[in-house]
Amino acid sequence: MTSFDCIVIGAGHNGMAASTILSKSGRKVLLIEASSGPGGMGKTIEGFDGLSMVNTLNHLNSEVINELELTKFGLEQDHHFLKTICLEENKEKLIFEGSYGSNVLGIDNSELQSWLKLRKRLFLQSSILKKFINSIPIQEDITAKEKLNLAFSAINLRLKGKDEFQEFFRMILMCIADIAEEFLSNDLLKGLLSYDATLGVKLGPRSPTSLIGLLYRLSGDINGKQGVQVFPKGGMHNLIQCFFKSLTKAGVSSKFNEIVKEIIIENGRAVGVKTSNGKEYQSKTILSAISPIVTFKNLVGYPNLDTGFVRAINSSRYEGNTSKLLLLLNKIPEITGIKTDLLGSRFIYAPSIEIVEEGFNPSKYNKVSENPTFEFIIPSCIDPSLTPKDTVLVSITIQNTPYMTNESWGKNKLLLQKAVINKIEKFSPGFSKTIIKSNFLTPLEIEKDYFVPGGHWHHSELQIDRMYSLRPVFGFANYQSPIENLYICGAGTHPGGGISGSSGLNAARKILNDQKGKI
Amino acid sequence: MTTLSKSYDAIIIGSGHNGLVNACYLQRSGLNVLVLEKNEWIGGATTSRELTPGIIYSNCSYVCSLFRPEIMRDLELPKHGLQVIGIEGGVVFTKDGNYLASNRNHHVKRREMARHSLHDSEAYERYSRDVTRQCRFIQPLLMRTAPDPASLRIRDISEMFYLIKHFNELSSSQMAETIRFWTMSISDFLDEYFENDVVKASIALSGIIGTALGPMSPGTAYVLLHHYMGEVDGSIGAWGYARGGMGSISKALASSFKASGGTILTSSEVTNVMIRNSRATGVVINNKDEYFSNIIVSNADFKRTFLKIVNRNSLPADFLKKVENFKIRGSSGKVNIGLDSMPNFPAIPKENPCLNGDIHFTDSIERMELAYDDWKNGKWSADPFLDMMIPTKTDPTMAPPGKHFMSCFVQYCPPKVEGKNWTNSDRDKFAETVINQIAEYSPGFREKIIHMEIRTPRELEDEVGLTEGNIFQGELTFDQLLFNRPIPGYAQYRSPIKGLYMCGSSTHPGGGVMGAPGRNASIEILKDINKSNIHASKAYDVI
Repeated sequence: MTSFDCIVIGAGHNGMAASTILSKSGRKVLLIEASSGPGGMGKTIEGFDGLSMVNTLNHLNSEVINELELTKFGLEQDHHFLKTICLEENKEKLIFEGSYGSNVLGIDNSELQSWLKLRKRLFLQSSILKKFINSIPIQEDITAKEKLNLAFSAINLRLKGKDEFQEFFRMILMCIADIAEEFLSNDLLKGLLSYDATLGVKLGPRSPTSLIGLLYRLSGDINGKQGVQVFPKGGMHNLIQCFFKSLTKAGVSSKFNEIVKEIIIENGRAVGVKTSNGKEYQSKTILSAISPIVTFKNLVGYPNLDTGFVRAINSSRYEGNTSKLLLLLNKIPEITGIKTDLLGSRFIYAPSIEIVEEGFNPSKYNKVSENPTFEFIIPSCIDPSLTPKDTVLVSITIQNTPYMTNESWGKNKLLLQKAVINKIEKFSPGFSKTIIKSNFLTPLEIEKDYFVPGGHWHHSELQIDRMYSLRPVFGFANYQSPIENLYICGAGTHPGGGISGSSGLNAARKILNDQKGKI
Repeated sequence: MTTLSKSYDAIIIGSGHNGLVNACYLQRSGLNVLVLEKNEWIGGATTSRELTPGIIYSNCSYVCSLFRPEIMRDLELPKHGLQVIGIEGGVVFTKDGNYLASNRNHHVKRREMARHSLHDSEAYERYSRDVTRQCRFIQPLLMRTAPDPASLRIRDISEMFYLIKHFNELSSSQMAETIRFWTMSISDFLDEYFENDVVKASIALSGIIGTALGPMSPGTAYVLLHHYMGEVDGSIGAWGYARGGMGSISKALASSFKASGGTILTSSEVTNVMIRNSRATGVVINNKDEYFSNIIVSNADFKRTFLKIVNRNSLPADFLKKVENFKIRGSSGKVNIGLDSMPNFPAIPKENPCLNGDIHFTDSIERMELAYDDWKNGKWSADPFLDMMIPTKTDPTMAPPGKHFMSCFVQYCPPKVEGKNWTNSDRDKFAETVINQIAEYSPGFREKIIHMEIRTPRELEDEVGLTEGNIFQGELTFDQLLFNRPIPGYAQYRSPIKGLYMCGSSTHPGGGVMGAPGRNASIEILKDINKSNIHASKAYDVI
C-alpha cells in the first residue's frame, strides 16, 4: 500500500488547483481521476477537438492564476472577449458590447440610459456579493472577525447612499422579470437578462430569487474586468493544460482511468481510498473534488454518517437542466445581417421574458419545450487556430433540458435538437445542410461522461437555499465534512460551478490552515 | 338624524377590519374618529351578506385564524359578539376516487396519512416541529413596527438590534433552516419531508392561496408560514369560522368602536385627500362633502391610495414610480354558492366530519403548478385549484335548516383575460369550469344550487376596492415583506405626506384577517401626536 500526505479525488480544475497548492506546501499529493485525462467538464470532447462542455469563462479567480503561476505555464491573458448578439426573426439585432453591456447597439438612447442605470446598480450589488463569493463561507461558530466583516459590508453599502442600500435589500431576492420590467422596455434586452440570470438553474425569469443568478454572473471578473465573458486563448484545452503543467511541476502524482470506489474510514477518520483496480492508497488527508452526493453516498457510505447530515445531503436537488449540442460544419455559417467580423460573438435566442418563461415551464414536468431558448458560439470564428482545416465548430447551450432516462427521452431528444437547429436555420439559411457531425449531451449523457449524478453543471442546484453557508449543506460549507480528515471542494461546494478555481483554492487553504505547523 | 360635525381628530378611509382596528385603538386613546366607507355595508373584505333570502354569505374572506388574540382582547370583541369556532376536518379528494382526510388532532391526522404513506406519517412529526419553530420565530415580529435599516435614528437602530437578537436566539443550524425556509419553494420544501403526492398537495395549498406564485416558485414556503402562524384559542395553525360569517368580525369591531364614541359613515367614498403645504388636512367624499382632520389613515391598498385617491401632483415622482412598481397581482377568484341541501361526495362515508373543513380536489403539486402556468398566460385553468368550505355545516346561524352556503375560493384567476378586461360571459365561463370540477366529485351538485355569486378580480376590485382583487393587498414576496412592505423607507405606516398614514394589509405584516397592520399603525400615529398607547397590549409569547 502506498502512502501519501494528501489524496485528491477528481482532476477537474478545482481538484487540480487544490492539489497543486497542497503539493507546493511540501505535501506528497496523489490526484486520482476516473477518466482518461484532466479537466473534468473542461476536458476536450472526442471528435470535437477544441471544444469541451464548458468553453467560456466569466470568473477565473486571479488568486488561482497567481498561486498556480498559470501564466508561466502558457496562459495568455489576452482572451477573446465575447460580444453578445440577441437574435429574433424580423427584429433588429441587439448587440451587447464591452463588459456586460457597457454599450448596447440596437436600442434607442433612452432605453440605453435606463439600461446603464440598471447595469450600474447590478454591478454595485454584485461587487458587494463578490467579497462573499470568493471567501470561505461563515459557519456555525461565527468569529468576531466575520461579524465585523458583515457589519463593514453593511456600512460600506450604506455609504453608497440610502437609495442603493434600500434597493439592495429589496432587489436581492426578487425575480429577474420584475426587475427588468421596472427598468426596461426592449424585449430582446429583457429576454437576454432573463436568460443569463436563469441559465444553469431550475428557475424561470418569473421565479423569485432568479436575479441572484445574474448578480452571481456579474460578480466574476477576468483580469479585473467585471462581468465579461471570454473565450480563453487556445480554447479551454489550453487552460486545462496550464493547470496540468502547473500541477506536474509542483510534483503531484496523478493517476488516470482509476475510479475511487471507497473512502476508507477507520474510527470515524478518513485514512485512505480504494480504487476500481483493487489498489489502496493511504493518506492523512483526503480532498474530494467531485460531486458531494457521490462522495458521501457512494464513497463514504451513509452508515458512516449521521441521520441529519444524510437527510440534508440527500435532499439536495442535483438533476441537471442544461444541455450541450456540439456541431461540426463544413463551412462557416452566414448569419443574416451579421458581418463576418462579428461571427466570433455569443449568439443568443431568448427574445423575450415570456419566451424564456415558456421555455422553462415544461421542464418543471420533465417535458421538453417546443421553442427552447439557447445560445451558441462558433469557436472556429473566435480562434481559427483551433479547428482542423475545412471544418467549423459550433457549441450550443440549451436551457431547460430536463434530466430524463433514455426511455423517457424517446423521440423527444431528436425533436429538441431539430427545434434548435431549425431555429438557427431561420437566422442562418442553409445552416442545417452544412452539418457533418453532431453530439447532443443532455444531462443524462453528462452524468455518464463526467461521473456527475443528475448531470448538473453545478453538481447541485445553485439556488439561494443552497448557496454560501448552505452549500452543500449547512455546517460543512467551509469545505470540511463530518468525517475527520475528509474535505470537499468542487462545483457542489461554495461558490458553485463555472471555471473559477475558487473552491479548490479555498479548500486547499482550509486544509493548510487546519494543519498549521504539522504535515 | 343628528348633524355630523365636519372636523375630526382622525379620519379612516375604508372600514376593512384593519381600518376598524385602527379606528378602535385611536378612539379609545381619546381621539374623535370618523370612518368613511364607500359601500353600503362595512367590513371591506371581512364581510358577510345575505345575498339570497335566509342564507348569509361570507363572500370574500371565509375563514379566520390570523386575527391576533391580543387585539380581540384589547378591543373586547367577544363582549361585542365575536365568537370563533375552530374548524375540525378537511379533505383532499383524489382522481382515483380515494381521499386524504385531515383532522385538528395531530395523531388522527397522522393515522390518516399513514393510510397513504407510512413514511410521510413519520415525517409529519418532523415537519410539524420545524414549521412550529418557524411560527414561533415570526409571531413576535407581527406586532412590531419594522425598523428602517437605512436610518440612523435610535428607534430604528434599537429595533434592528432587536431583530438581530431575536435571530440570534436560534441555534446556528436553526438560523440556516430559517433562511432556507424563507427562500424555498413549497414544493422543494415538502420534498425534503414527504414522498406522497397527495400528502404534499394537501399541505402545499397553504403556500399558494392568494399569491401570484406557483408551488414551485421560491418564496412560497413563506406564504405557507403566513397561513400557519395564526391560531384559534391558542392552538397554532388552527383555522376557524367566525360565528355568523366573517362579517361578525367587522360587526364586533364596529360595535366596539361605536361603544367608545366613534362614527362610521357608509356610502361615503373618499375621492380625494386634501393636502396643503404637503400636509393632509381632510378628505372629500363622492357627494362633494368635505371632512377635516390632521390625521388621515388609509385602509385602502397602497396602489389605490396613492394612484387613485391622493392627487398624483402632491407626491414625489420617485415615490410614485415605486408605487407603480408595487406588486399587487390578481390571482384569485371566488364562487359563492347557496345550496338547497348538503352536497354528496360518494368517495367518503356519509356524514364524514371531514366535510366540516376545507375541501380540495387537487391531488398533486404538479396540477397546482399547471394551473399557475395557465394564469401566467392570462387564462383561468380548466383544472383550477379550489379551496372550498361549507361553514353552515358547523354554524347553523348562517342558513335555514338543511340549506347551505358554500364558499369556493379559486386559485388561479387572472386579473385580465389574455390581456383583455373581464366580460360577463368570461365570468360565467369561469364559474362553469369551477362547477364542472365540483360536479365531477359530487354527482347532482348542479341541481342543488339555488344561488351563485361569482367574483373575479374585476368584481373584487370594483366592490371591495382591492387593486386587481389581490387578497393580501400586495404580494407576499421578500421584496415586499417586513421593512420592504410596501416599499423600503415607508414601512412604518407613514407616507411622504405628513398626516397621511397607511393601515391596510399593504403594510407590515401583510394580508389575511389579522388586524396587526391596523394596530401597529395606530401606535405609530399616537407616537406622532405624543399620546401613549395604553390600550394596545404587547404581543405575548404564545407557545
